[in-house]
Amino acid sequence: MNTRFDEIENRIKDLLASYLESSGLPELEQHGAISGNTNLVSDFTLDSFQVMEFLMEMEESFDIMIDMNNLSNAHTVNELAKVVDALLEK
Amino acid sequence: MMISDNNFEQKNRHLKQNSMHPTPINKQLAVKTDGFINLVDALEYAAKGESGFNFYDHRGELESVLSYRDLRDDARVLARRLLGLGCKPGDRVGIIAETDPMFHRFFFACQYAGLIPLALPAGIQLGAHKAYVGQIRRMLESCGAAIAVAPASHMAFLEEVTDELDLLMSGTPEDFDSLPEKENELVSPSAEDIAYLQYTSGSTRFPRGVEINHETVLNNIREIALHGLNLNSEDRFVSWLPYYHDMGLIGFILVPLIAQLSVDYLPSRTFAMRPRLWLKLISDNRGTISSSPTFGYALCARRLRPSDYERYDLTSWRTACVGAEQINPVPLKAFAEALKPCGFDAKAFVACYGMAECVLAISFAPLDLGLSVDYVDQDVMTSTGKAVPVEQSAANVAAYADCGLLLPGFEISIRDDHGYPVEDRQCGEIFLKGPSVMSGYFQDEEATLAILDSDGWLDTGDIGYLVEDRLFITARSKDVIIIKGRNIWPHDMEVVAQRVQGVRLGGVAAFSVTGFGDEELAILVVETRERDLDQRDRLAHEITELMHEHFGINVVIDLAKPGTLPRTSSGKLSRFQSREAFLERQKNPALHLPGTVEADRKIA
Repeated sequence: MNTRFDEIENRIKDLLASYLESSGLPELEQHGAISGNTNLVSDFTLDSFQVMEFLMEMEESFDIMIDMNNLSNAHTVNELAKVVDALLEK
Repeated sequence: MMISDNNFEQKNRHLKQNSMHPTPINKQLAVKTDGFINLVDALEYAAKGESGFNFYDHRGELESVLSYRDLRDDARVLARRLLGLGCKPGDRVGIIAETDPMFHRFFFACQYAGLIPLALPAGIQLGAHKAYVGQIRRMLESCGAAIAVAPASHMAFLEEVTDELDLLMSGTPEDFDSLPEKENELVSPSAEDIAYLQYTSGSTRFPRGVEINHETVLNNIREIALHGLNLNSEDRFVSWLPYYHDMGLIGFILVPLIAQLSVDYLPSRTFAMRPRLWLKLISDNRGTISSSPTFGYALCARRLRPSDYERYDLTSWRTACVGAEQINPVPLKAFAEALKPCGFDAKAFVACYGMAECVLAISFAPLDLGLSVDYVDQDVMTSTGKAVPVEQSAANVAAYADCGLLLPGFEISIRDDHGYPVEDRQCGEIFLKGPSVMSGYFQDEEATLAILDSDGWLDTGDIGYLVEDRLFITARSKDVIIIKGRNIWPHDMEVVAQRVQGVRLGGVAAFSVTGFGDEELAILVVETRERDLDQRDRLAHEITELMHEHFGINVVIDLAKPGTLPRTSSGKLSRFQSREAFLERQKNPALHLPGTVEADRKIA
C-alpha cells in the first residue's frame, strides 16, 4: 500500500543488519530477523556512539541530515523510518 | 531536506564580517595569563588581539567566527539586556550548551552582569526525550535558575521544562536580543564572586553544582597554561568536547581565552558520527593542542581508512592530553601507530588527572615524553594495594599511566582506610588541598561537608599511589562509574532500574568491572523472584532500555534470586562486596545463574 514508506523501512532494516554484522556484534543471530518493531536500543547492545555511527550510515544512504533532536522519540525501526520519511518529504 | 537552523542568520553575521576566515594566531599581542582579577578582565585583554573562537559544521566547514573582540562587545550588550529583565546579582542562568557561539555570548554576558552561568547538557540519546527533559528540569530546579536559554534546536525541550518552573525568562538567543538594554554601568565581579556552576552528574536525582569563584578558576587555568601546557603565542586549540563537561568548558573555552589563543570547534555530535573530521581540522588549521578521554582516540582509530594517511598532516599536534577517565594505554598506542604516517608523534600524549571539583586539572605528565606506564603485579595490587613493579611481559600485569607531577598549588595526601598517610607505591584514597579546590557544592551544605573538611582537604574519592611525587591513578572514584567520558553514579542506575515491574525494591547493585579490551563495563545485579523465562527476558530488556535512555550506555544485566546481594551489618547494600561476589560467580559456572545477559561474552 504505502510503498515508499515500506522501501524506507526495508532499507533501514538492511542497513542495520549490515551495520551489526560489520561491527562484529553477534546480536543478529540471537535476535532473528529485524522487523519494524525491532528496538535499536534494547534489542541490541549498541552504545550511544555506535547508534551515532549507524545514524551516519543512514544519513549517507538516504542523503539526508538527521537532527538528533528529532530522534528523541524514536525507539524502533518503524519509528526511525517515520522520521526519515518526513525528512524526505521536505 | 536539511533541518533548518534558526541560528543560521545570527551565525552568518560574523561570517560576513570576517569573510570566511578563521581567527588567526595573535601576531601583536603578547601571551599574558596573570594579573587578571576575574574572567571579565581576561576577556577585555584578549579583545585587544585578533584571536577567538571558530565553529565548524557537520561537514567540517567553517560556519561562524566569534573573535574575542566581538565576544566582548556582544557580551556587554547582552549583559545589559539581562539586567534589564530585573535579574539580581548572583542569579543563575542555565544555558543549553550546544557547540554554538550563543554559549560563549551568554556565559560571558553573565560575567559582565554578575550572574552565574551553568552549562546544561545538549546531547540527546535516541528515544531519550523524557530522560533529557527530566535532566534539564532537575538541574534548573536544583540551582533555582532565574533564566534559561536554548538554541532553537532545543527550544521545544526547554519549553516542556519551563512551563512548570517560575523563571524570569526562557527563550532562544533571538528572544533575548529583542530585549531593551538597561542603562546601568556594568560592575566588574570580585575575585570571590562565583564565576560558574559545573554540574558533576546531570543524571542524578539530586544533582550537585560545583561552585567555582573567579580567583579559583583563574588560578587553575594559569597553572594549566604555564605548568601543564607551557602555552606560547603560536598555539592553536582544536576541540570536539562538549561545553557541559569540565574538559570542554575549562580546557577549550576558558584556557585558550585566558591565554588569548584561537580555538576551532567541531560539534560533539559530528565527532561521534565522523570522528575523522577532528583530524582534518587539526591538519587544516595546524592545531597544536587537542585533547580527549581515551575513548575518543579509540573511536577515531577505529574509523580510519587507509586513504586517510595521505590526507592528514598531524605534525603540528604537539600536545594530546588524555584524561577524564581511567587512562588505557592500549588504544592510545593503536591510535599513535595508525597515525604515524600522518606525522602524529606518540610523544604528544600527555596523561592528565583532574576533576570539576578542582576546576579542571590536578596533575600533568611532562610534555613531549609521551605516555609513561608503570607495570605492576596485578595479584599483589589486588590483595594488598601495593604497586610492585614487574616486567611488562610478566603474567598478571597491571598497567597504570604516569599522570605526572601535581600542578604547583596542590598539596596531596594519600590515605589508607583509617585516614593515615601511606608510603610511596601504596594505594590509598587521594585527598587534595589548594587554591584550585572549589568552595563547595552550590547551596548544598550536606554534600559539601561529605567531601570537603574544615582544613580544606578535598576527598576526591579516587584511588592512586605516588612514586617520587608522580601520581598514578588506579581507580577513578570508589563510587562513580566512568564509561566513555560519562560519569554515572551507581545510585542513579539503581534508582532507575527499580522502576521496572518485577525488580525487588532495594535489590539492585550497580558497579563496573574491566571487560575485554580493558574497557570499563557497567554491571547491574538485579534481584527478582521472577522465574518465567519470558518474563525474565522482558525484565532484562526493559532495564536495558531504561539504562540507555538515561545514561546512554550498555549495561550487563545479571538477574539474581533474592538474597544474592551482600549487605552490611546495618542492612545496607555493599556495592564493593556485590562486585566481588559477581566476579566470583563469573568464575564459577556452578554458581552461574540463568538469565545473565551477555555476561559470558563480555567479562574478561
